[in-house]
Amino acid sequence: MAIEVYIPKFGQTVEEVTLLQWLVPDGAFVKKQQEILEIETDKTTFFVEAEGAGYLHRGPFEPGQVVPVLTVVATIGGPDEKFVGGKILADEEAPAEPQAAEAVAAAPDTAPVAAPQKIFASPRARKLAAAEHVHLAEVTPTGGGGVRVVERDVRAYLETMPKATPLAEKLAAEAGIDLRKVAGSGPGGKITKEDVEQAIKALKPPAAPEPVVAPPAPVTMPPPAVGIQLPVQEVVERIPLKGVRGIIAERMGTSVHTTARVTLFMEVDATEFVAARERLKAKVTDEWGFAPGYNDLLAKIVATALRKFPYMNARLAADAIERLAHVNLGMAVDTERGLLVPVIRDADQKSLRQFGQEFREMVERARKGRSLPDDLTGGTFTITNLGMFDIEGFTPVINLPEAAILGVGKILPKWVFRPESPDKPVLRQMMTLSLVFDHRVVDGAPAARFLQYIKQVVEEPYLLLAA
Amino acid sequence: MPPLKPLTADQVSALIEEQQLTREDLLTYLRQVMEIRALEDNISSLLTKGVLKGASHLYAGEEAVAVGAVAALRDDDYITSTHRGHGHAHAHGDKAAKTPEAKQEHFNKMMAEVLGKSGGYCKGKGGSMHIADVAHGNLGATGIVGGNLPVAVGAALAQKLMGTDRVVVCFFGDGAANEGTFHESLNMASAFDLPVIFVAENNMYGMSVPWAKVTKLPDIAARACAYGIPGEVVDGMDALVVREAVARAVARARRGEGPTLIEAKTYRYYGHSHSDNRAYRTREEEAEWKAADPIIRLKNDMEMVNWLNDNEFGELEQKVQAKLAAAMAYANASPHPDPAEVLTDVYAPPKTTAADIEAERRLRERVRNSPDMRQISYAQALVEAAREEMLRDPKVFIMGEDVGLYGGAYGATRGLFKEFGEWRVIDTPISEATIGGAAVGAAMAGMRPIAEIMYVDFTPLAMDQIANQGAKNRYMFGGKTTVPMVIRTEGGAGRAIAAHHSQSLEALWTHFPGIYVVMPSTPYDAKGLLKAAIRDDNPVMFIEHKMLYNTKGPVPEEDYIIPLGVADIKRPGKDITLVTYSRMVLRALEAAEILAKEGIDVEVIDLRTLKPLDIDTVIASVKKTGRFVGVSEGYENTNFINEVMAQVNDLAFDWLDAPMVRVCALNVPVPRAEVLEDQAIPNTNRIVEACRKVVQ
Repeated sequence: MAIEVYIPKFGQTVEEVTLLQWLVPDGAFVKKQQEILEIETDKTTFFVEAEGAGYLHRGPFEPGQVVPVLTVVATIGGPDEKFVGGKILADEEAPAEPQAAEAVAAAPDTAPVAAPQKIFASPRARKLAAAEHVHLAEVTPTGGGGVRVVERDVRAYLETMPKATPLAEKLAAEAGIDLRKVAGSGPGGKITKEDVEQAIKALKPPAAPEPVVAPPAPVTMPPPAVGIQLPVQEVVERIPLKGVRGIIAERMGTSVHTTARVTLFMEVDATEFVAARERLKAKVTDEWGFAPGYNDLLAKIVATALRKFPYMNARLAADAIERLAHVNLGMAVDTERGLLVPVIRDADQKSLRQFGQEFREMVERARKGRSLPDDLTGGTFTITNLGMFDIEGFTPVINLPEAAILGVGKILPKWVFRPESPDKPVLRQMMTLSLVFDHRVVDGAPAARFLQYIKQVVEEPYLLLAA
Repeated sequence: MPPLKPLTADQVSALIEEQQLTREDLLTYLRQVMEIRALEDNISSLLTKGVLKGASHLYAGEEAVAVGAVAALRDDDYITSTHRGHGHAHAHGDKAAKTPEAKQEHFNKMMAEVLGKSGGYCKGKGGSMHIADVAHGNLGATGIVGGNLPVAVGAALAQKLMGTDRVVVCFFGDGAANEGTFHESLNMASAFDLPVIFVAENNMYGMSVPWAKVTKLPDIAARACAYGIPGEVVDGMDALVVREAVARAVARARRGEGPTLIEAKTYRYYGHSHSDNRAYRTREEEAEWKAADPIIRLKNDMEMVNWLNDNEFGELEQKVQAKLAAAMAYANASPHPDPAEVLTDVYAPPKTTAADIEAERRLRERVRNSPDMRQISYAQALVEAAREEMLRDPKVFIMGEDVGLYGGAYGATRGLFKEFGEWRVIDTPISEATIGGAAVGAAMAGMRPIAEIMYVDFTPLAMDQIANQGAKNRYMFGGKTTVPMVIRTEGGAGRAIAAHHSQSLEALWTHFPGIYVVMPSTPYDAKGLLKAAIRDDNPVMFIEHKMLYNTKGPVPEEDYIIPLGVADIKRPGKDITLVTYSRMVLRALEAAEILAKEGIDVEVIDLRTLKPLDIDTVIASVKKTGRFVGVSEGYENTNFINEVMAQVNDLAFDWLDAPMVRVCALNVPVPRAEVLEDQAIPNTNRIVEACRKVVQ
């Protein structure tokens, strides 16, 4: 095994160095601790020493070149060996950076030679972990300032473990399935043997696509940190990518990486929309038990538009674009647990009152973490509104496997020129809509027409009656 | 070379008449001298052949001293011996044995002990330098030059306190005469008129260095005038001469007139030890001394009065050789000690039982839950403990500097002098080594001394006496003695009296096997533990804290003891095991209250006794909390708490949830200035910080 000559890491701040000169010719014999290479950081110069004796095989690195730390710049071995490049992956001196290790561990295919990261754990934590069959690498350390896994960390980890039947646990252990990524269908969300079997099935590549009824083949995404050597930084808190956060990270990453995103912005005159909503609110709030909001009205308009433009109510399967029978509208909601998207089924078929009521019930459940299994699945299109946070326009990420998402900005009074007042601006309530669509599913012009229709109805809400 | 003139027939007759000796007596002396010689020559041969391992300091040439001196004693008197002690042990043991069989058995046990066999006097644990027979009055040999002078003083003090007319013969060499213990011992023995006869065996060389080269005065005996006692030089090659001088000294001692210093001029034929080639002396000098050989001298003495002829002498020689052969056969046949024996005889068995431990646990609960119980100070608790034990057992007495009328430097013996008088509460000279050693000797002779060393900083002056003699004697002597003594001392910082009066040196004392170390933190603990220490049969180093004497706490009026080796959980908690003792218990409890406000629940364990250590209580706590903080006022370097940590590591490693942390004194001499002292000694803040660190 060749001895690697790498750029040492000089403390926390040095990320790269400049090579000054090689002190030993390629192929020459070097002794242990012989100086091989002179390098320069922004502070000073250093010599890189041989960690063992042998013949030096220099890599393609020349004086003047800037090289990141831990890059292997040469190897020392037998006279006939060749330089094999690489990077020192396991930074043992940075135990506060376990993401790097997790990234390495999670992507064994891409980094098969990575040395295992030393895991610091108290004896008590090791004892408990062994008894509970917990892999210490999966536990977030908090002891010793975030360096060492202590007992409370293992207990915290165990608490996040979903409840599962003993049979399911056994099956998952055998198949190497992470129970935290399996949805439980048993009583109280308990993971059953069937759930694990489903998960195992999902892991296997589909033998043949099953169009029409089959959901799109799940796209498995590597964790976001893959391949990134995280620089040494002081981490004050680590939020494990588990539960809602894990799902968000995975879905959003997958979406951005796999969709062909196009964003259309359209400014809409919402003056009538606002007026209509105010009148409606004044009339029905008492009767309905809630005040209809912009989101309700907008959802109604969008649901109508989706029925009118069915190519927007579609998704991409492995070999086809599938137009969907139902208009199931997802409404993005900010909760303490993170972003959740309750789905109102057949939104186009429901009255405004029905829609509003159902939506509110779902939000209530989502906020409490009591969502029913169908509450958060099966959407065909999503509306996301950041107007309440003074956002005017933005480019949301498509909620796969949907084809598009509508971002709604803040309604703001603006001076605009109107056909009836071409000479002087009038004050109108304006709103920006951003439609992000997947160009694989729909082209720009049809998507624009869809958005244009929405604009029309927002500007002239009575058109809903004509839909 | 001193004038060694053989006795004339008249002189021999006169000595026999004066001492009322019989032919049998002289035959016995001659046999003993010859037996010692045979033993030593045999050992020399075994050493040369490599059969015998270890050091053997041979007595050949000096036999007349031991035989003559022991011959002057009664069977109930005492001797103390030296590293060159085979002669003392044989003269004494042969005298104590009353039948030929018993004498052979004694000789066998000597030989076996030198060979390290289980059938030896000390079961093979002592060897050549530590032969003892305490039951018959041989308080044993020591490997430390001058080590047994204070012990002899203590044994003599015990006789005075018990009102007997027994005496103690203390053998020592010319080398020991230049040790500090020589001066301290002769001073204390003469000051108290103790019945001890100091027999200096001046063989002219301290290992290789001639006496004349390292000493101004030609005679050790001349120093007697410094102590106001008789001093006499005698011809150490003639047993009759030695016997006569010692007999006069013994008579004086029995009359209560005090000690005598007798210097016997003598010569060791072999080198200091086996590895000594005697390059420092001439062969001519050796020949001169050998002309005055103790065997020849005694043989001639007897022949002059017609008590011995050549045939009889020849027979005697044969008997001696046969006796030696039998002893060698016994020693060779005697098994090596069972390896399991290595751990036995270190400590005398505890006198307390599980029932005592349970009773104390219940009493402690009661004390804690009785707000109306009387409150007395730590000092008062100590006075009460000593007083109750002195009333209970007449063998208990107190000795030390200023313990009498003054009442102790910190008032821990106040009032006892008035109640018990000057011979139960004894003001000693400022002689720490001899205070310690006298406690050892008195304890071995049947008393239960409480010796006070004013500051623990001064205990190193007494370390050889307390640790080498007191703590080890039981083991070295094969479990055949007990040393029931308490050394009371006090330590700790807080009075701004700097580096010689503020240390916490318990780690020096926990280091030695054979001695217990007790460090109470409350008046209740102080009283119960001191009473238990006094009743215990082991040496106990009882270290009080100078800042605790005035602290008050509940102490029951009833008679109670706290068994040694039982820790006390002063505050239960679930997050951290904080182990400490002495004054640091109070700081740890303060720290625990501060930490409680932060939601950190600290369990404070007061060890109370460091040895024996109640590791079970510590381990049970660590298994509960997973976190360990040790707090000690001693220097961090080789602090006793390190030992506790090592044991936790051994016994509960898998239960630890964080690295163990210790809070100790800085590794600097304790400084005078308060601001520096506060830096050097653990304060409550440092303890709080350490606790925060382990839960981080």
